[in-house]
Amino acid sequence: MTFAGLSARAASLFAVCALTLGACAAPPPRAQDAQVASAPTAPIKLRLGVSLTAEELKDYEAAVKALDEARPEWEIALEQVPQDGNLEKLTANAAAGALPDVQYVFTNQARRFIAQGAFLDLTPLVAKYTFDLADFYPNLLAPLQFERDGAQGLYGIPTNAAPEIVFYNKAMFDAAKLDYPTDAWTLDDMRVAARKLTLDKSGRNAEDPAFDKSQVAQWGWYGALPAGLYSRSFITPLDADWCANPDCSQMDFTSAPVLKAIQFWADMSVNEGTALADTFRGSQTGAGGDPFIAGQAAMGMNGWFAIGQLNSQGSINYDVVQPFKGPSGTRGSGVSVSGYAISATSANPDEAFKLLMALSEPAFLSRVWAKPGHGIPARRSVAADAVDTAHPPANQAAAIAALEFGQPFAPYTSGGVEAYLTTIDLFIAALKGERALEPTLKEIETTANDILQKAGP
Amino acid sequence: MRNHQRHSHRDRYREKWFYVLIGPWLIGFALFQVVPLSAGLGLSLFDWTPAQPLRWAGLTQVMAALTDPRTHLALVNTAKYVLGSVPLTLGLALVLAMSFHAARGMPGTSVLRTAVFLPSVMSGVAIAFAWAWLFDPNFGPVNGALETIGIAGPGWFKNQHWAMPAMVLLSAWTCGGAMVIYLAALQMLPRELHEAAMLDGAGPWARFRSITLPLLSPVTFYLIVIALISALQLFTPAYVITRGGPQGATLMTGLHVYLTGFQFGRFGQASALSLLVLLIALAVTAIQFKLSGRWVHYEGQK
Repeated sequence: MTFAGLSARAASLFAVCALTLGACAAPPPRAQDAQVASAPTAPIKLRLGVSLTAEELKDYEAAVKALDEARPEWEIALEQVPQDGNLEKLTANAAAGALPDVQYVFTNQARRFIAQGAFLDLTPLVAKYTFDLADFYPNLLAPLQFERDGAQGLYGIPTNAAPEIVFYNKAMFDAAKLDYPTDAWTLDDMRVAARKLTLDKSGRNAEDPAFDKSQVAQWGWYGALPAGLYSRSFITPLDADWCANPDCSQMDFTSAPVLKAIQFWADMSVNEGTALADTFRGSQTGAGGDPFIAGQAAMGMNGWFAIGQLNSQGSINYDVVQPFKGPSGTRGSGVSVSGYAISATSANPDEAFKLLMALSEPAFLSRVWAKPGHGIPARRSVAADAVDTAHPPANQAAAIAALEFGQPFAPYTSGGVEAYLTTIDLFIAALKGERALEPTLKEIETTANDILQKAGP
Repeated sequence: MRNHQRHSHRDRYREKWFYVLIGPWLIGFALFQVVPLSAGLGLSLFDWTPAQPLRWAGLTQVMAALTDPRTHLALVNTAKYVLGSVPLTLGLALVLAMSFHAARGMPGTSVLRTAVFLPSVMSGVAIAFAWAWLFDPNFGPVNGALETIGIAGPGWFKNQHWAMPAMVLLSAWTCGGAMVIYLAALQMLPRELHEAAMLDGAGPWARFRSITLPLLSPVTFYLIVIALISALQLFTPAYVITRGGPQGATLMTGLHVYLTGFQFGRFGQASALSLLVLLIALAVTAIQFKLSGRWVHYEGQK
């Protein structure tokens, strides 16, 4: 029979049948089915989803390959997603019910998926395999804990963390004939130094009456409140906290202590012109990216990760110290925490948890994470392995110390990312002096609370 | 009678082949256009977050989309982009097409024409990366060139006030597609009208304004409709270069839909937004058709 012999109806029927057959084709076998059908020795396929920097991935791939070879019962498929697109990929995978068995998560993004039921409560598995959590920094666990039906569960295990610490440019301090900062410095010491270190295009510092704050060429301080809602570490030393409840699902930007603490930074950026208000986006520096790495700032707070870029660039002579103390001796450090969660749709949750345990072994953490520019292992027993004095900075112990008092980025509840992205522009505008501070903070409070409340826990 | 039967048989034969040949396209159209569009329409009436069942929401998603300040920002930004990019792209395309038309037959014109058209067939992501580099405030050749003549270049995509103009400039780079269409139309214009006008003493500008432009108006109308729809859907450069920043300066409707769904996980609201963008595109197109009677001249029309 030729096509010419087909009737129009038959041709249409053919097309519909082809489509139906395609739709009715058997779905690909799940790993569990494959396990039953295959020989008992067939390895179990486990998908491991990660989102790492290029530097981290190099070490991670090698370590996972070694683990895969050492554990013949598994066939680990490593799936890397660039960090820029991680949240979108997670959302798409969760929507499709196709999350990898073990998923690397950033704790400020994970809660939405935990609340939606995309990840397993690990509490029973932790008990079943007597997985010891005592070695993990307890302050890093909070974003991965979630209460469901009145029971507190643990939905992920932290693997590495990057605290914020103070970076300073030695050459700029030398040029200003200033002593280098120490772990004993206070915020007031920093503020005084920032005035001497901030230079306008004519080379005058901020203590000079002729200083032109609209023409700053070198900033004394960078990295402050413009980092938005995640930056409460800047006001913690000033005895204020804009998280109004433990999980930061309610925010306060209007109480007297919070206003006073924010005013400290607004004074530096708006009135004195010694602190960058738009740290990374470039509207003040003329270039996006890190102004410290670009040699445009003398000191400021940044994550531990920045060390990797600074060392590979090699052009800045720098060191680090702990975040500066406030009047009452309190310090603050925002900590970017990453961990592993197990997909609720995993066909092999037990094996996935065993893989998670292997990835959390001190030796594995030390091999992968304990390097300058990578996160610091989230276990106390191996955190100090991140200190490598063969590379700058000299005072790397400051980062280990910051892990003890640091707080994970918050808000981390379901609406946290949206609240952050929606209010960041308001922060920058207020800290640049483009908007009045108090009404803007009121707007930030209303907007953030509205988003956080609508998004739920 | 026999003749009629022969015709009828041939018609049936052609009809069968029509369905066979169009079948794959129809399947693709149903799978990748009709089904997603219907699903999007349906989803806009539900509250759905991944790993959760659908919850009926009625028009609340549409209302949420309409009252979201980011929607207003995205609409304003898109309007700015449309107002900047459509006239610039089409104007440049027309100027280039007329230049190539005037220079036809001269050596090197075909190479130049291909060079102008090339960006239209290049990957949008590649173009976006190239422009991000060209306009980098520190390392980009654009600011480098400006510096050599004593001008301190702006922050372009990194600056809140310059990001949108940079985005508009980028759109002009892909004017090659419109240029080719204009060029084809110019080559089909009747020469007699120009010759008659020249005999009457009409200069080049008068001939362009009174003959060329009116005769090109159907093509211009088509290009405006397509350019407006493309501008409303703009996504790639806004996503690749700025992610809607700095400070929301390049948040366009297409990107806003994407971020609402895939970054904030609100697929119902994202679907409602898509519906809104579709309605805007339809309304804008309908208005253009309504207004076209005033300025579009078709051959043979009185």
